[in-house]
Amino acid sequence: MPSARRTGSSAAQDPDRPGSTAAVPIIAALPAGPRRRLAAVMTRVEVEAGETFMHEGDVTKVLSIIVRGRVALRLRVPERGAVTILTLDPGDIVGWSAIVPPYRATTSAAALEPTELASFQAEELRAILATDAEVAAAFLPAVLETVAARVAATRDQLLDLFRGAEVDPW
Amino acid sequence: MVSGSSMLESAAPRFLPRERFDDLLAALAAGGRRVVGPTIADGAIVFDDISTSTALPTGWTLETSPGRARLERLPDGPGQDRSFQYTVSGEGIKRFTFPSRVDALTMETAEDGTVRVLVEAPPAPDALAIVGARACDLAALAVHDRVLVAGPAVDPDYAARRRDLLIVAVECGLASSTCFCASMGTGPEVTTGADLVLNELDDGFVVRATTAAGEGVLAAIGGLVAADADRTEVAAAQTSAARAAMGTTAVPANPRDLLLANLDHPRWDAVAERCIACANCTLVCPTCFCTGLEVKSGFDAAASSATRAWDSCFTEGFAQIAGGSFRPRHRDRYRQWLTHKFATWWDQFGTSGCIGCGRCVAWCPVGIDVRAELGAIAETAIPTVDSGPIPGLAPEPPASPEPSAETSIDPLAFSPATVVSVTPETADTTTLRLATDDARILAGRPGQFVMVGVPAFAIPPISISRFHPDGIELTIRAAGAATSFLTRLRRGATLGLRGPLGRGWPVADAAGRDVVIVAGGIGLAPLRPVIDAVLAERDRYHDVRIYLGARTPRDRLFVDEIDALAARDDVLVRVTVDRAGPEWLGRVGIVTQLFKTVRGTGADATAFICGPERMMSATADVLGDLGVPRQHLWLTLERHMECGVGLCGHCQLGTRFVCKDGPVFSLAELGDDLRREGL
Repeated sequence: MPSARRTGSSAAQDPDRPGSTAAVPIIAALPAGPRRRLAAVMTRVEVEAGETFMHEGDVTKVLSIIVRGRVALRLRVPERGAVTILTLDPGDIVGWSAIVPPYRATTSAAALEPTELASFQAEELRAILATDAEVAAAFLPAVLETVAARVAATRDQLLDLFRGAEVDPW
Repeated sequence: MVSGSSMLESAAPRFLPRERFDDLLAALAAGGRRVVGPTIADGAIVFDDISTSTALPTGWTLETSPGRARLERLPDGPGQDRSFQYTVSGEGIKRFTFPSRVDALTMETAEDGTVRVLVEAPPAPDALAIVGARACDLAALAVHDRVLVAGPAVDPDYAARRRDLLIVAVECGLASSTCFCASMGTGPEVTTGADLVLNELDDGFVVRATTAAGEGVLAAIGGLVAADADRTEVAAAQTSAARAAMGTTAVPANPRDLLLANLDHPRWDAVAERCIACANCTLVCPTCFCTGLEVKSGFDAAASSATRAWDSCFTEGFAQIAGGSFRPRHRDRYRQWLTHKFATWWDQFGTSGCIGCGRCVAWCPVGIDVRAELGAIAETAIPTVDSGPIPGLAPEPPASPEPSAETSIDPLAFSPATVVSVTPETADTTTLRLATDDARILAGRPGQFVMVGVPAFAIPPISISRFHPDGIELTIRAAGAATSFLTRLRRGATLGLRGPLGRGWPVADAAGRDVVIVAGGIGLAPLRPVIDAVLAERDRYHDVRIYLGARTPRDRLFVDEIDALAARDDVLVRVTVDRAGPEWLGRVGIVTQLFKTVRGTGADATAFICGPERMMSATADVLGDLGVPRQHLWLTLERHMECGVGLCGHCQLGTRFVCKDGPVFSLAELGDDLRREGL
């Protein structure tokens, strides 16, 4: 994310310090060991409103947890332009494809308002997950939960429940 | 009325020689009374006008078995000249008390442009005598009395036809293989509902009068002597033989609990393989009462007339609403019919809906036998649990603190209303502000609805989306011909309103609690009066949170109002849409995703939810996970409705009529029925 502004290097482990893992959803809830080891490779990133920081089809370089702000996941439809299919709020994961082969972004991601992310570099995170079973066991369920919830929500959207009538009873 | 002693005396059975049967018909016809009885037409026994005994099916019987009904000659010998030696006719007496088509109302536009909806006056009581009704027919009549005149709403046409009905019953002296009245407790003995009861013998009839009117008929015939003991014994023996032939165990014990515990039994799929959904069973059933309104008009649409016609839960359109059908499969429709007859009828009316006549068995073209279906389910049933008293027999206090509003509503009375302003909301949705001086409508409650009549169109139920001191608002989505027409009305147009109908939102349930309002799409319209009511007395409630979903940003309703609400600091408003272009900076996703960003919703909250049923179900799940109690989760259901007062039968959901028992229900009340497919 070339234009994203890094606000700090590795996050601190002091929960009272601004920018600590205490303010980062998901990570803050992990057991102390995995939390510490993930925090060591986590960076805080601020994204300006309107900025697209992940592009559909590209290799996903970063997995992030939204700390503040709102992010739109978008698909490009040639006839319709960019279509927002989901917005994400604090606590949501963006860029889960960073750790799931083939590591390509399934959507683009754009900040709708000034947004703060807690980010992990893809290769670094994958290396930890491959070697640190305790981190993997603590962190992967949260990622899976995110992906599962998104699949379920997408199915409901697919039903287009609010669409107008197809039939004509009256 | 006769005195007690003379009643006893006159109650003694008399003997009516066969050659004097015409005297009975003449006595019945005295004073211009119309007399109908069994006769043969088109190879079947039907009820029609008869003036002499020559019209009766003398010498014939009707052989019935599953999928078969054939006229057969009585064998030579004693009894070959009997006239009632069959059991049930193909069609019962229903078409005389509850005809398949009756004029219901007219709608017309007057010269000054005002619309009037005129309810047809019930027919003048047609003095009618029916000869040859059986015990099952009378039991069916009693069921119809309960459904159609015992309230809360009354069918005026049925009430009028029923008022002056004279019935000469015939007690069955034989049973067909399709008969099972003895198992249903309705026959073969005639114990109630008739004025005269006949037992046919070879040479005549043992006849007993059971009412003063019946006694009057016997007196008019004159010269009848008491039936001797031999004859009364033969008569009783015939009836006993009929009872013995049927047995009393044709259906499993307590079919209600059996069926309600087995709504997912594989037998429903098995029977659906054979059922062709032809609706014959509902047409011959003497207790089926579902009807629809058929509207006809000229091309100018200035006036129209509506006919109330029999409908059937086996038809495709019966459970249709704008979003689709609630019972798309034959399995769903057969289950609805059988469970209604044997189970939920008890909850609704305190009686069985099946009276054991077996017509549905004989007249089913593929020979489906309800007794066999019930037996098959019983054989491999999920054991029934004690489900407690049947609500219809032991009424429970209403779960809602709001009283039900259906009492004293004339089911068909419309009042005029005038469009005073029109506000387009979205491409397909419009809000009409209507002026009315109908005090009942003005006193309506959030969540109630009205039936809306304009000439030439069907009469849709529409939720009230706001109350004013001098009128109401209706927010209408153009989903079909009628609603499309309504959304195109202009200022000054008039229409007919009937209501307010249904049980509304129990806003009082939220007093002193957090209020959570969740709406999807047009579902915001019936919740708008809840928002109005809560804000009018904001201090009575703790946190107020409103979550709204729409298809796209352009499909949001009441945008300015919602923006104004969002600007308040005492209400939390969250909006999401299912899809959006890049210009939309708000949320995108299903409405349940909104809850994850908000803390504090839980056991102290009362939730009001309206939207597509799947969205409500998902919302109820999430709110339930957050700790909102089921009895404080309220949602409103949409079902096909033709009457709005529990008479047309379309809106049934299990034990309930959505129109009068709802449309607002708590999740605790609905239980598993909310997500049971095809119910």
